[in-house]
Amino acid sequence: MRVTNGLTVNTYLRNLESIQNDKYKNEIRVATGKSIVNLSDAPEKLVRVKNLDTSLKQNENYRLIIDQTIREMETTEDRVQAISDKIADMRQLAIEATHAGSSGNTYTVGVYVKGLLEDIMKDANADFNGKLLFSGTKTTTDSIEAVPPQQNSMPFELIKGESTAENPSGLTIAFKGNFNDRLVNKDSKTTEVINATAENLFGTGGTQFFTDIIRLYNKLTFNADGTARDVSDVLTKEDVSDVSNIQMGLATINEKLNNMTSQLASRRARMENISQQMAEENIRFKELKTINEDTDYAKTTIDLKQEEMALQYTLQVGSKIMQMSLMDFLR
Amino acid sequence: MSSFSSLELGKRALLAQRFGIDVTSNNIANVNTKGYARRSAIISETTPNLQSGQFIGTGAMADKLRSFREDFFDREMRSTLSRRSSFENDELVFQRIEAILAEPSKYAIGEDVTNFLAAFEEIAMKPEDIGLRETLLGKAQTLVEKLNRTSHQLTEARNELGTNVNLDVSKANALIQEIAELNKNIANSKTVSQVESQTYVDQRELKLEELSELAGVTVTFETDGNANVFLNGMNIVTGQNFNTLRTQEAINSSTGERTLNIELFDKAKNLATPLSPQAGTIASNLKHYNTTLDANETTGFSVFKQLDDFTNQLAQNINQLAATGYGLDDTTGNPAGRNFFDPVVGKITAGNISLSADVKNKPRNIPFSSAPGEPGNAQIALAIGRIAQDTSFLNGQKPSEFYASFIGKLGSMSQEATNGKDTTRLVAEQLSNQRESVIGVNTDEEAVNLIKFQKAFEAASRIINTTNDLLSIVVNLGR
Repeated sequence: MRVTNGLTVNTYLRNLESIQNDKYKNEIRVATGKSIVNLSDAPEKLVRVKNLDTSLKQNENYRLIIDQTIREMETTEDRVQAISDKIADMRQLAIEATHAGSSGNTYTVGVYVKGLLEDIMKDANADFNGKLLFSGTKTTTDSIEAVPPQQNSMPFELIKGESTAENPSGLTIAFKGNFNDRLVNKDSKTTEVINATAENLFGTGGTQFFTDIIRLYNKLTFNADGTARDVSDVLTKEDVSDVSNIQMGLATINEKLNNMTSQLASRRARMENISQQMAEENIRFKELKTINEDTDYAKTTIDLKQEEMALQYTLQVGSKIMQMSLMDFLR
Repeated sequence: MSSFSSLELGKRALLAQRFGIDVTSNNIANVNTKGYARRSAIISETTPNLQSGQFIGTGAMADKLRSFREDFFDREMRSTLSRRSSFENDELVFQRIEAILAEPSKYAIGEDVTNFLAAFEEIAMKPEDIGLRETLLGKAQTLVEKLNRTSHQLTEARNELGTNVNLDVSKANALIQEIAELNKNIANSKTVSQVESQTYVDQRELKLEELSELAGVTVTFETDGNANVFLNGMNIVTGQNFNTLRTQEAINSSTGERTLNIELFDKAKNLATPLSPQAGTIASNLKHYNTTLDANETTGFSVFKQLDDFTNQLAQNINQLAATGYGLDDTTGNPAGRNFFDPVVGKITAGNISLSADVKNKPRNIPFSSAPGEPGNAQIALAIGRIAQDTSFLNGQKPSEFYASFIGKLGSMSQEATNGKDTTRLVAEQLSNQRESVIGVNTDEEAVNLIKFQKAFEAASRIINTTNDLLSIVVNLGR
């Protein structure tokens, strides 16, 4: 083959360009840590990486949702537990009141029951991060309308109304929320209820449970004729029977609350389990993603070193490529 | 044979060797001239004289100039250059599209859509939170702006391709004219000296190769040295006559699709014939203008259309769900029928998508609830979030799958272009090397030729000197 000046120079330039291109790509690979610099490098790998990336992001998002939901559910559980504890206290007080017939502090117990009722109201109106917990999907005070004699925009309100023979204290409880479930997407296919509805917790209308407490309060603080008890009053035999019945009812309510606590804990455990699964999934996804996407540093560094050497020698050759010819020897 | 015949012989030898020196010098001078094919001086023996019953040689003369140009290499080169320039241009266009779509990176549209849809699921934890609603609107605005910007850049890229086609057509017309001019020069040179001027032949070949890079032309040569150039079988250059190319944009009245075409225009007959170049940068630019970057493309793979279809499907799905929802202040009655994205009428594209006035800067209005007066109800938000998992979103795929396959397809096409470029570049290099090996100038070789002709020139001078001495002796014999 005839080796001409053009052939030498053109081949040299093409080789130089090729080495510089390869070196540039590997420099980017080392700098970014990614093996795919352009779409054309490995389109099939890129599609795989993109799908893995989406799954990873979605899992991360679901885990974030689950983590926050779990915190809310823990708060709900705490509130339900607090209510349950107060109901237990009430039951204890009711039992003591039946014994108090002899000790004569029925009225005081009644006042104490009312205090507990007010505390339960606070628990029932509890919120998590500004979101009301037990009012269904009416989670803000803005969405709750107070209709007279209601006075505030809280979901549960203790209202002092007219005294009647049946309800000498005139106390009633108004529930202004709804009984709808609040849902979140806990993974790509399923949803989870994150709240406890008032109906599930407090019985029919979300207030049945409070009616029993008011009945207990009425029994302890009012006589059968509707007049207020004296501090020294003792319960009649009939009153003791009624209080015992109410106490039994409270036990049923407490059982319901405990069931709800268990349900919430079970949901929470389920979500924690899913979150854990997703965390494990993500480890595998990341591994797969890294296999498809990340630079093999050992290989790339060696390639880069080879290209640097090749470039160095090519440049050295280039400086000499056209140095000598026969022309140099002609006089 | 007269005494002066030796002088004549010497003179012819001097002229022949000087011709050799001139040719060699020209080769050396053009060692770096693009398209130059080396030449060699053919020196042949002159007609012998019959003397004393013997044919005695009468010296040498510069007989002809030989060019080493090979038609085979030129033809193959033109064909390869056409294909190579197509692929090179394809690669450039795809690289531009990759850059516009910010692929591969974490700042691409696909990632924004995933984040945007995830935000709906996230907000379901606290749909009444104005801060979260504001954040969602921010994400939506980011997505909208990115889609708008991408659409604008794709439009710009398409317009540039249109401009490039026009520029290439102008360049092609200039080349066509130059080729016809060179045909004329070659014909004239042949009239003057019976042989073609190699200088013009080389120049014409260079122009033919440049034209081949723009549009895959075929060339035939006449015995008179003229080159006829064809595109799509249509005659562009016939000897010294030529037609011109021009661009023509057609607009489909029903689809609004703009198509750029090339026509061959015969000035003499005022006749335009449509052409479809199959190779070269014009063909490549036309393909990308009329298909890859055509938003109204109906048959081929259009990046623009895919992006618009994706945008439309996403926005329509969200709007459909949003229209059935209630905002924070919707406490009674039927849904307000709010849209999340505009425009309401017609296709929502990456170019025209915007946040609906119903929700823009009005976070309380975003309809997340499926019932009035329920701020904690996020049924609509959850349903919108679930679009991310909808396997029938577009082409039987989820949004992320559709986007990934769309990018994958783009990558495959880009890879095809890169592979094609690499292959044709390799073939072109091999051909170029082979041709260069034949027609290229080797300075060492030319130096040897230079010495050869110089020494022969010196020797021829000696003939004249010696003959002169002999003649002097003869002239002085009588003194």
